[in-house]
Amino acid sequence: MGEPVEAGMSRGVKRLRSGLVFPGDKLAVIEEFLDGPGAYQEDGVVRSAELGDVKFDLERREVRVSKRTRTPILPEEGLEVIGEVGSVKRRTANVEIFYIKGVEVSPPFTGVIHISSVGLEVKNMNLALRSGDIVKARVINTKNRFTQLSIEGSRYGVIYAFCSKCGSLLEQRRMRLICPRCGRVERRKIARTYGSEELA
Amino acid sequence: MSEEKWRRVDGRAWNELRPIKIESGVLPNADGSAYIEMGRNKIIVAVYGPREMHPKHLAKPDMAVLRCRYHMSPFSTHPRRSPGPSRRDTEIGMVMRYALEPAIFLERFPRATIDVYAEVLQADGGTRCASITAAAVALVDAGIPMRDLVAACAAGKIEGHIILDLNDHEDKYGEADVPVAYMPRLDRVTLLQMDGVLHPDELRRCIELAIEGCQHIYELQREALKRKYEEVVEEVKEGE
Repeated sequence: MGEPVEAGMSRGVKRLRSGLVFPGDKLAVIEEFLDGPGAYQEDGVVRSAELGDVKFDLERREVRVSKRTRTPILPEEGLEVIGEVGSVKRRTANVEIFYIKGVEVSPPFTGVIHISSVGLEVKNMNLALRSGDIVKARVINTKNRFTQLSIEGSRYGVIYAFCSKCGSLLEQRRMRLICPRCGRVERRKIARTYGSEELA
Repeated sequence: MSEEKWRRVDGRAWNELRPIKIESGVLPNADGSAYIEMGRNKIIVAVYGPREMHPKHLAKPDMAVLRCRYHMSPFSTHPRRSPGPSRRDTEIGMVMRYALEPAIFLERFPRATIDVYAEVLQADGGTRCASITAAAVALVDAGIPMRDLVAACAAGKIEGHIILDLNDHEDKYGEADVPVAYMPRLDRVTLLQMDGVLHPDELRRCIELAIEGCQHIYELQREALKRKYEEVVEEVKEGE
């Protein structure tokens, strides 16, 4: 079952092997199949890179291994993340990302939101985000030292904010946030789902 | 005495491994983990990551960094061992890193770190090899893409006999010790050390013998992973 696969097959013949394959197991040679996700090619031999189930795609002539183990979660371009705002400077805010695509990650990843990707015409980041806010954002770039995030669009922005005077959870009244305890009015870049997002 | 009749301090034949037990996924808090018993060695390995590197200046922009910490518990030896990291611990951590790095697709996780923690609970010679063996299982358990598993095993020489899988006594009083880490499917050696004096021919025989041992250990690694991941699928099927 776990032995290397004999994938040699004539056109149109489905001799697909099921069962576990392990990293390093030979799946095919490059003349037969290309290395799809979960497989890699070395010296003309296609091998598994994961512990999982092997699938031969006869249309694309490609071998794939769908892993049975956990999938490592990292911030990738286009993913939706939730994090806590750390320090806020005039043009940037740091975010500690603790949810990626709805999955909790611990320890958190560090992300940065620049004022140009807030989506509001503000001169100071303080008018869009404050330290301690919980923010929903989209990853726009992972190629630099910090993961760059964007809160442009109505889906993204602050989902929970706290009063900067007394610390209690702010309530949304139209486009404003009002503190139920001290009555303070604050401004944020609010997401459409303010106050209703479920956080485990 | 003929090679056949000669027995070692623990009664093993010259080419016999100690009884080995490997278990994967023993620590729920870690991303991946493994436990190995190799004779009287008992080692637990935890893998975390890939996760964000701290301090950040140690991160590499084009690949992940593998960090290995090898540590022997104070109660792992007799007499008691000082609990702090020793020079030996630091070096074996490095050796583990060198042995495992060629097997991992580090370039798939730029700026991240993969942390491997090996904790020796009980030591009886050959802990570096057992740690590497268990670490490879733990890395697969953590879902980290790998080129191959890494199995490790030592060979050596005592009283003129070439032997496989030295225990503490044979390591201390023998003539030589050759730990080898090996990727069985790719047929590549990732670690080769030698302590003691050997004739080049003897060294060659030691390496060949150690590789044979690694191939046997590799089967046990596969079985350990199979035990965990075949169960997972059965559970899913039952739930449907």
